Amino acid sequence: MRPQSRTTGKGFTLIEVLLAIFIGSIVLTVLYASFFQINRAKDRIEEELELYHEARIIMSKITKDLATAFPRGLINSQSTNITTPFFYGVEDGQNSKLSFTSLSRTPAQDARESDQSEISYFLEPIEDSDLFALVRRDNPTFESDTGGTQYAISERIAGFNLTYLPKIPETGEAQGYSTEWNSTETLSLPAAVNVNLVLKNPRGDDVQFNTLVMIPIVN
Amino acid sequence: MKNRYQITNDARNRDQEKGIVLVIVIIIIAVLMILVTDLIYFTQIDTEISSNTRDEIKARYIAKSGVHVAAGTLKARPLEELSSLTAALGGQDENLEGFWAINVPYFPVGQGNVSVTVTDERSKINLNSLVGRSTNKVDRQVRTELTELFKILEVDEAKSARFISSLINWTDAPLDGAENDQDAAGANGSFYASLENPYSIKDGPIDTLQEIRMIDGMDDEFYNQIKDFVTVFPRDKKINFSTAPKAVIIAAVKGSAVSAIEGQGGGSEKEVDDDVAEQIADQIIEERKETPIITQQKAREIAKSVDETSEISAGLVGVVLGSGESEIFTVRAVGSLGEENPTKRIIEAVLKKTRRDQEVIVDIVTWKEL
Repeated sequence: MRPQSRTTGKGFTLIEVLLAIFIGSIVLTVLYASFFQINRAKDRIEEELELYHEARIIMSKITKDLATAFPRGLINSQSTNITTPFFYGVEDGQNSKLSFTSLSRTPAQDARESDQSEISYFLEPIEDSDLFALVRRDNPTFESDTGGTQYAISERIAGFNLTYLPKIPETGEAQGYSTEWNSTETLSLPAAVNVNLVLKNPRGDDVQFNTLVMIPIVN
Repeated sequence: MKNRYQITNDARNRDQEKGIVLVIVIIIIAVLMILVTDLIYFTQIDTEISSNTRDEIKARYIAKSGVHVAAGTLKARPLEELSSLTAALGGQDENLEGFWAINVPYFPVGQGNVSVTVTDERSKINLNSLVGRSTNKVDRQVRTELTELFKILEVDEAKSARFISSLINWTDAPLDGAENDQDAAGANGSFYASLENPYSIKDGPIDTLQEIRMIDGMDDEFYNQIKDFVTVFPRDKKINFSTAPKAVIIAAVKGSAVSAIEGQGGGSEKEVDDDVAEQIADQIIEERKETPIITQQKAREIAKSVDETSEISAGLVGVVLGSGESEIFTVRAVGSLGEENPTKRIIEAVLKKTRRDQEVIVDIVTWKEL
């Protein structure tokens, strides 16, 4: 009895080996699959988070620029000889385009620059893609085209729309939002700007972001 | 017998398979641990980014409310009461350079706190009054004030002269011929057009103080020397002696004995001695300790008591603010949130008090977020 049991204990039968391989492969497949599934989920979450992070940065930049908008040439004077409008927003196809004078600049050292600057936001199409790049231009020399810098702050924009709310008059009816604003006609800044931003997430869905920026010097 | 066999068989199986289960479990746990650690790491970073953004937004609103508190206070109370209010809040009335300023260093708001500093724009010399808006002529009183002020602040004389001339050209109206860019010693429109990064000359009033950095003759060193002593916001050249620092009062006294426009106003002019101007300034500052409001009348009396001739006291009519109470202020509010590494947001706004239909209204003139 004893020697017999020792010999059977020394090895495995074919069935045993096959069963072991079978169970082992199932365990490994499950492990492998779940590993990659978790990994993919993690990547997706990260990309999603990055999208929100990007939207936050764009919104805080636009908010800071718009909140410090000012009527250039008209702060300490009733009239000005500057002909360029200080706030000029138009529709550009399906999207918006905006140029305005703002106090958001930090001047470079020993440069002929002040805290004033002309800020522009517009979309530029990206080649081989139906997406756009949102470009911010910062020009401390105003009218002249040579000065200033511009760069894309996001390259996955599906839509960028601005609407402008005029100041509520003391008498008369309040007006609603308009899609264009030209300060040469209105002679004022809008009281608030509604910023609508559509970003495309990696799965190809549109994600909408919306914010309302108040301009303090109007209110 | 059977029982014994089973026991030994079980024991043998345990001996052999124990290791495999352990290895598999360890591998699974290790893989999961790596994934979880990675995920925790990324989540943590993102949570931190989000809470930073949240704190920044909160701090911005705290700073914003600081500006509005200042606006409300300025609206409700005259200057005299403000000083006592500041004292009650633990702030000081005069800062080191001798400026009058309301200073509330710590005021809790919600989860954070705000510190507010209010300075009087009328305690400084107005650069926009160098060229008369309606006349388009150089105001010689302001020109003397600026020259004297820059001398007191130890600005290089050549730089100072170049800047003042360029400032005249920068702010004068774009009329035809010699009336535009009227000072030949200063930079004119074609000078700015020929720069490496060209820009147009303003030919109108300056909008914000930093704009002077675009005027030729100004550089960082010069700017930092004068930035607290000059302004662009009041509509005229009147200086408030209740709040002005000594350097500005001396410059104003020296400027007062000059006629504003050449050949006009009787033409009685004289050079004011340094020690006469300083004596008048010292007496005014001494007087402020007793009565915080120095009206034009009071300033003229003091001038008369130091210097008996009429030029200074007569000239002060054009230079000193009549009521001694200003209407235009700069508010700097710092909103901060958190104890150790506070998130801070700074808002600098210029506020203007106006009276409209028996009601005092405070308008925001400029708004800057730093």
